[in-house]
Amino acid sequence: MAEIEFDDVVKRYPDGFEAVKHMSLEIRDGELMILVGPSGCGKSTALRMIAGLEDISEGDLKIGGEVVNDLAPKDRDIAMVFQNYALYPHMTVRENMGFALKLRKEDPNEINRRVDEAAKILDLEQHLDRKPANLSGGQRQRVAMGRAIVREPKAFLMDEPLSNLDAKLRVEMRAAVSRLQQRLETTTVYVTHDQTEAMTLGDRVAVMRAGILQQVDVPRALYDDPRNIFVAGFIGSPAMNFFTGAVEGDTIRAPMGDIPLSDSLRRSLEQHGTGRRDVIIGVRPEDFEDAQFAPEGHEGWTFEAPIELTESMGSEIYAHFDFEQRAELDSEELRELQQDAGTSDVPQSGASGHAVARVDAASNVRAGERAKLWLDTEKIHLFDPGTGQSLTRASDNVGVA
Amino acid sequence: MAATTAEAPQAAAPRKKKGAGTAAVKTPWWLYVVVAAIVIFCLFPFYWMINISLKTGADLTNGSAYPPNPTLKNYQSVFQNGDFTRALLNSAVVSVVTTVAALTVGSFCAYALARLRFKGKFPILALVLSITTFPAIAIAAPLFRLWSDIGIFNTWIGLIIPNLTFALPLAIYILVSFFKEIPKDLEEAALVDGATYFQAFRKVVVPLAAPGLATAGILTFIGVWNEFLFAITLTSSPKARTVPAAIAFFTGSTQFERPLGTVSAASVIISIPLIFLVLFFQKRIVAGLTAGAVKG
Repeated sequence: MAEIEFDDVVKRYPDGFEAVKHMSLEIRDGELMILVGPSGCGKSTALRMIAGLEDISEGDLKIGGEVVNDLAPKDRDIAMVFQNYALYPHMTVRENMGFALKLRKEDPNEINRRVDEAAKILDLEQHLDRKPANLSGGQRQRVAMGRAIVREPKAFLMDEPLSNLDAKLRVEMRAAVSRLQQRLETTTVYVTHDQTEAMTLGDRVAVMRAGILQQVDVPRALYDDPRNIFVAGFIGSPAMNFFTGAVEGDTIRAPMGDIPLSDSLRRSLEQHGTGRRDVIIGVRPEDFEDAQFAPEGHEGWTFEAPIELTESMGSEIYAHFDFEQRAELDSEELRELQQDAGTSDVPQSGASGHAVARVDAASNVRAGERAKLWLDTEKIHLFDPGTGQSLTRASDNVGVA
Repeated sequence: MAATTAEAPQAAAPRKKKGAGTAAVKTPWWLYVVVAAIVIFCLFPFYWMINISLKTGADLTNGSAYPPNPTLKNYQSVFQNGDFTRALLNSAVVSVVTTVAALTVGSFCAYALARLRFKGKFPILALVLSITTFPAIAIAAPLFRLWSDIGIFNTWIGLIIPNLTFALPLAIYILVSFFKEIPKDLEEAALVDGATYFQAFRKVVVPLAAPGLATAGILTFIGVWNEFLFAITLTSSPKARTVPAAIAFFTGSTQFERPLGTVSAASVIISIPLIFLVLFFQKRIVAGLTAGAVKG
């Protein structure tokens, strides 16, 4: 077990492309750290640098306090679970799991004991003599995990280990990974592009974009207090809605109307100066509500919106509504988020002048009709349209990126 | 990979009755005739060789489709011929050594060409391949002079080197395509598991490329085993002469008698190892060993 530390690490490919830019990140001993971001953000590269499969162009990578930049993968004592499992097809499950120990020339009895133990934890005992080709996807995934845990390494690296499983199995295995990690208390770095996985699994989550670390924090803080528009849009499903607007005195001029500025927001905003300013307004779908069901004791604001579509989830309803953007919402971060979500079926909002509100299941909003919606003015996020930085972040390190 | 697993249960299911439901593709009768003709065309010379090898004396030239008085006398006399048994040994040594060397060196080269990123990869592969198009006869005479000068004329090594030259490109070409098929993740998994680069190559890549190695090995072995031009040019005595060349030196009991029977018997004998080799390795060549390695 050991802590892992990135100290100003850069990965530059021969063609000059920087996959990871000046990354500094400390992963504590026994911690489950999630690296999350859209494809191509450098998260896998960062992971492969820990494993020693990618050279480090600049900076230092430390494992257990020791700089390992020039250490071969085999000397780092790190176990990795690959996205496609990378099981050795010519070996049985037992041989797969014991391969690393055999290379270390451990006593065969000891190898067997440890493989049996891991197989028991992972419920693989009856499959030990089978070849990977004869296993189901979930079983293969567990063998890949088993291969990592028998080694009792300093750290586990997991590269999207659940992305090849079907949705139901993924949820189960997510819980299994979480239990396993808590039980073994081994430092784990887990790469995923799925923000749900990141939020549910991680002790802490590091959001990356274009090779740059955006924000590192516990899941709750990322959700409540995103540092910039990218993190805000990436974390949460359905994603945060963005509107162009401006702050003038005590009101936020939004496409839906003038929203009164709450005291807490005003205080945060004052740190960035006073007077009129253009902003991007971010509201999470769950901070909307059908006006009828508006919670008591919350500062809120009611407006009317044309409902375009409703999706009933049983426990809640997603009401999609259109609005007129005051100005074109032009943010590089948002464009990238939309590109990344291009194939996903998560309802997207943003530049299209389209937003999603989560309302109570008992609400009778209907597609094609106008409905009175309420929004929690305390929970509004404001971002600088130029830099994408949050203007309403509660913590005092605002603007430090 | 996914296809094989998906098809397995189908194959196990009972065969559909004829004419049931879907329009089964009916094989036209003439196809059977054509296939039979091709098979006969291919196998007839071999049959004729066996036929002749079982005849002696006057029967040899009577042209009958089967030996009237079958006898193993030709086989006996072939094995009593010390030159022939020595030639069998020469052939075995030259073929095996060339094959092993071609596979060893070839797999290293092929691995580098398949995996490493370096400039001029394509020209190198093209150059390697161009050697196979080179006419062997063009270098036979120069080699004869050179080998005589440096003293490896009429030796095993003198035959192994030129054979290797022509066997390697083919082996490399076959192995490159097999190595490329092996997921890179497997090697990386081995590296992270604590293997050195060479261990990852030997314990993960090579076993998975076994069908490729078998294919390359068989083709090399057959090529060298049957090789005649170098064998006849670069040897001068039974000391290093391989079987194809040795057979050419067979003589009848008188200068007017043709050694047809013994030549046929010798030809049958040297065909046997090749037949067994191909039958034995056929399964390995066909089997897709990488199934189940990745997701699938």
